[in-house]
Amino acid sequence: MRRYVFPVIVAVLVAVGWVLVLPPAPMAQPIAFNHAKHASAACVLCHQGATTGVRAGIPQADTCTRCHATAPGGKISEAAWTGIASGRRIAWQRLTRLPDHVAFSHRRHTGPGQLACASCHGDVAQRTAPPDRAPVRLVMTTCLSCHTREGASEDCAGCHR
Amino acid sequence: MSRWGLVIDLDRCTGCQACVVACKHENNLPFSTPETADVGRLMTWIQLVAADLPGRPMPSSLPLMCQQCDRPPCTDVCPTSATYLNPEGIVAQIYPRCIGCRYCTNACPYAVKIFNWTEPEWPESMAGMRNPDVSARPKGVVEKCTFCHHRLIAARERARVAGRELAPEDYVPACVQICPAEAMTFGDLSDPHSDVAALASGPRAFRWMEELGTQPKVVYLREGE
Repeated sequence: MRRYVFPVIVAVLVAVGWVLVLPPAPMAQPIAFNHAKHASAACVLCHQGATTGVRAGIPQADTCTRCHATAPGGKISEAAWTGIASGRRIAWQRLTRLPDHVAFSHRRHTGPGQLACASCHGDVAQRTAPPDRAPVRLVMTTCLSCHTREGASEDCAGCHR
Repeated sequence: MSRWGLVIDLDRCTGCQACVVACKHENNLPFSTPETADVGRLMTWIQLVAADLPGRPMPSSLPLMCQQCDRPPCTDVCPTSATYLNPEGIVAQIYPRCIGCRYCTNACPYAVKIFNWTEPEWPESMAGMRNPDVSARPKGVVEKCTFCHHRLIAARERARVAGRELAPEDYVPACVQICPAEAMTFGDLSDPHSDVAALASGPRAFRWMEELGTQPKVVYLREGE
């Protein structure tokens, strides 16, 4: 019996480490969007709702064509630009996901909470290529450490729905 | 700090069950069938129960939901602290923390904590009709009325963004909002000027099974006086 104890402990530690340490699988975006090139514009220009709504929107073709009348020279394939120009849906991969049981409002955190987007989304605004995974790994302790530091509510029911 | 409470006037309640339907829709409660109800697995956070009240010849229909006790027996027995009394007096239920042991369902003298025996499912025609502010509880956890706590969170956020204090009309649970007979009054019991505080301390007020000492914050008003 005792000879199984050590392998079992190792297996459990590896499993826990796998979940806690390793990042999620990388994701490829349909367009090689350069955030740094657009950094002079406010995040909310494309991610509408980030300051006024519960969810921050992910831009679609109409958002791009509001500023771009023609294809940005040499930065995007002709096929991709034709899709955008014709208003076809861009199949962005969402990097940051919250579980269904978490109640999170962008408006509350960017408004009364006065948080910058980078607080949760890291250096994504400086990236020249789309990140293949969320720059910041958001877990409950990430939220709680900030709530504790800032004196925000730590009532479980305030965020768990 | 607010102390939320609900007053139900049994003289006004017609037993129409609009509150039951509104609650189910607001809180993403799946449908139940007569068969599931027969085996005690009815999914509803409010039920109309027949109550024998003193001085009444016939049983009264009494809307019964979580009584949001100030001394809740359910929180004492929870081994994972998944259910607890929050600072505003709402007995909260944190679903990811619940292990489904059902100690709380047994400890609750009002039998208003519901165990999820099945995964929540809705007809295909109702796809997209779920309330996005409320999660769908998975199979194997206990759920209950929270006084529509998600509405409080949303109302508080709207008030803060508008730069003002939370007004009494900002936060009202779905059952209170829907009641066509206006039999339900909701508000802050700690505010002596609130309607709910005045009604809760009136001569018609009583608490359901108050002899147990659970100190509910759902208060009923006797009929016919």
